[in-house]
Amino acid sequence: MSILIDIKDLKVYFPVGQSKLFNKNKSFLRAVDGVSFKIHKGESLGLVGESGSGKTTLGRSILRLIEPTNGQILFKKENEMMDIITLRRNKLRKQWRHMQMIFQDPYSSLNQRMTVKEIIGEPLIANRLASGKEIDKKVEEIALLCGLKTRQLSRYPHAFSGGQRQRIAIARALVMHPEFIVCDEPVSALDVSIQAQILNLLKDLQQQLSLTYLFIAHDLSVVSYACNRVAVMYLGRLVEIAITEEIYYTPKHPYTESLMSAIPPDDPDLPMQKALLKGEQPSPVNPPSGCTFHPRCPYVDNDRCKSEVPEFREVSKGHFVSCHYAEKLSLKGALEHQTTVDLGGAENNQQINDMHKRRSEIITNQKKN
Amino acid sequence: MEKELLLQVKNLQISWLLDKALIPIVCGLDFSLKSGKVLALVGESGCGKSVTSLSLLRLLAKELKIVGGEILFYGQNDEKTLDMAKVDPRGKDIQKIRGGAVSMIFQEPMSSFSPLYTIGYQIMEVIQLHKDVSKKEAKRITVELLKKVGIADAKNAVDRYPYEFSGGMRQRAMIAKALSCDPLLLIADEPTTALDVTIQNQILNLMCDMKQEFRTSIIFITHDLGVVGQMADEVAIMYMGRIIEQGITREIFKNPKHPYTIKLLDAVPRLGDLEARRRLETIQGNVPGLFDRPSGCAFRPRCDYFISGICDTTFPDLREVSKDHFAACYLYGYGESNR
Repeated sequence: MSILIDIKDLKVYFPVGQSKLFNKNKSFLRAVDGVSFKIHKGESLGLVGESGSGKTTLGRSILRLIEPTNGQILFKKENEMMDIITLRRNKLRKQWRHMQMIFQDPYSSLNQRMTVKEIIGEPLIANRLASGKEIDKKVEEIALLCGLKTRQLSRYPHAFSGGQRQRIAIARALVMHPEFIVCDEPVSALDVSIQAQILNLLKDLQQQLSLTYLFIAHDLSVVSYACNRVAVMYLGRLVEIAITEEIYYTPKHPYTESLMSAIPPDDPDLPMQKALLKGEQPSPVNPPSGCTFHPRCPYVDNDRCKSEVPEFREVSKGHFVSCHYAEKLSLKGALEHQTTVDLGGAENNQQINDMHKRRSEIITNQKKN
Repeated sequence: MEKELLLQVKNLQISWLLDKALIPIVCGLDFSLKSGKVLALVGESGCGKSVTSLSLLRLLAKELKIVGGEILFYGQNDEKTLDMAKVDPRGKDIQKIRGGAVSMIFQEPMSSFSPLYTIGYQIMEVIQLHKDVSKKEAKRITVELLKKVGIADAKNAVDRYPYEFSGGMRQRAMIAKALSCDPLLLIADEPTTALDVTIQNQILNLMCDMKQEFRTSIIFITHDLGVVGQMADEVAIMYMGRIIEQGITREIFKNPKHPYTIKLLDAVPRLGDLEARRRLETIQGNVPGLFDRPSGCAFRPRCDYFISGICDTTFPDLREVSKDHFAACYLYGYGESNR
């Protein structure tokens, strides 16, 4: 697979505290602290971590919605890698045609005073990509693809439910046919049944339009369903990146292990998982020395973890970990037996057959009476 | 002792008073809870699960009225049974119970503490209201409680303000507050929805320990089926203000009967799908609005098994489909009577 985006040593620091006139020693909140990874064309890369780990900041800084402090973001365009960070404002605007974002909260990310048609069509007008009738045509096309009806386009966002609004937000992101989309918690504000609709939609659109996603979410089951590869973030740094199966079942970093073991298994026969992770994430203003995870790590044993920052290195093909002892530790993944909870299988089919049988019986009885 | 009935809700009906019209929100809810047990109320937003939980402590907004039914709270042996649906929501009777024998954990740990008082003060307030103790004693109990829920440095933490606590800590402080007067019943309205998995895991473990230690009954309101599988003894699935399926957790998960429950369980992405990468089942359409409640079974416009002339007449009752497992669907328990 070819690389679409190559991120090198990306840093986003926010100044915190009062800056006094003669005191230059300002402290910084290291939201993203030296992150390097590649995004392949056509994949969905999941980005997980606790809140405050810098997921959203990373996602936004890739689009330069937040200005990175340092680093390179190389975007492949016509077989050349172009550094987005060096772009001037007007060039950046042009680049945004190719990279778009879907936000978490569909209730606040749509302008209440614009009709759906205006919302979806605005990117086209702003970038002078279409005019007049052409806008209508393009808007209708993309709206249809996202499961909206033509007659709904003249309505205002308040007339729509959460799921429908997220469809509008998706249509707006897709109307310029971008290659890359950052999805920041696209389903966490939605109900279970609606969540499934949107996840399926995102998957279908990816196939039809050959999109590449960076999928930010804290729900690990959603990520396992939606992504091919997963990156795990802790305190502004990546601790592990690998294909989904490896992250979930054979994690190599203790933090990933504790995340995976915290997923409540939905099989009532299984006992509750004991909490592996004690305490809470330290402040990113004053991160711990060495490996930032060492104060909470159950395997920490010597000075090396406390003093030396582990390198983010490849331990097996495509599996990167930043832990000194990645090879030595044998860690548990998410519970394997969850595969045996089978509601979509044969048992369920039998149930459905039974229900159809009952239904036809009732209909025949109804006719008799 | 262990199996005695603690709470019984009979045909509870709650309506929204809107310009003199009554819009039904909860339409006839029946459930009961034995002491030491955990009941989970599950459903999508708008199904009435939060309204139900608030009504149990009479915390409903002015516009929401209990129009019928009973909420019987049996309390301890020597106390008389109290119908909480009938008492004055501002009266002495309910105030004695609120925060005492029945306490509540709210969804938003961010907004459920007052920012103006210290965490310690807010917990002590509850203790002093319900127990006859001195201020010093109340503070001692508070420190003990905070220690118990795993807040480090509890001695100093009592004097901190809510903004100094993180989300997970606040939720733990909330639990400490809820447990401060040894409640018989704990109502937890989406206690972990706003939290990360790791913190969620800690909180659930904590609630399990508390249940075992104090034999507290819990009503757990959630839409997270994973959490339900771990915590609940019994599950009630709600849809548009009614319970449509109810039973022991294991039964509901392994052998769901109502078309809505089946779809709901299938719509959740699970880890097991990793290999299969199956498409998620979706439930077609949306939950209907409160103003256009369908006649008959509320789920019928989205149901694959809709039978015209039967499903659109009246709402089906909950009928037993197997031992201790009830479903409200014309597919179950109605065929026989028609034959």
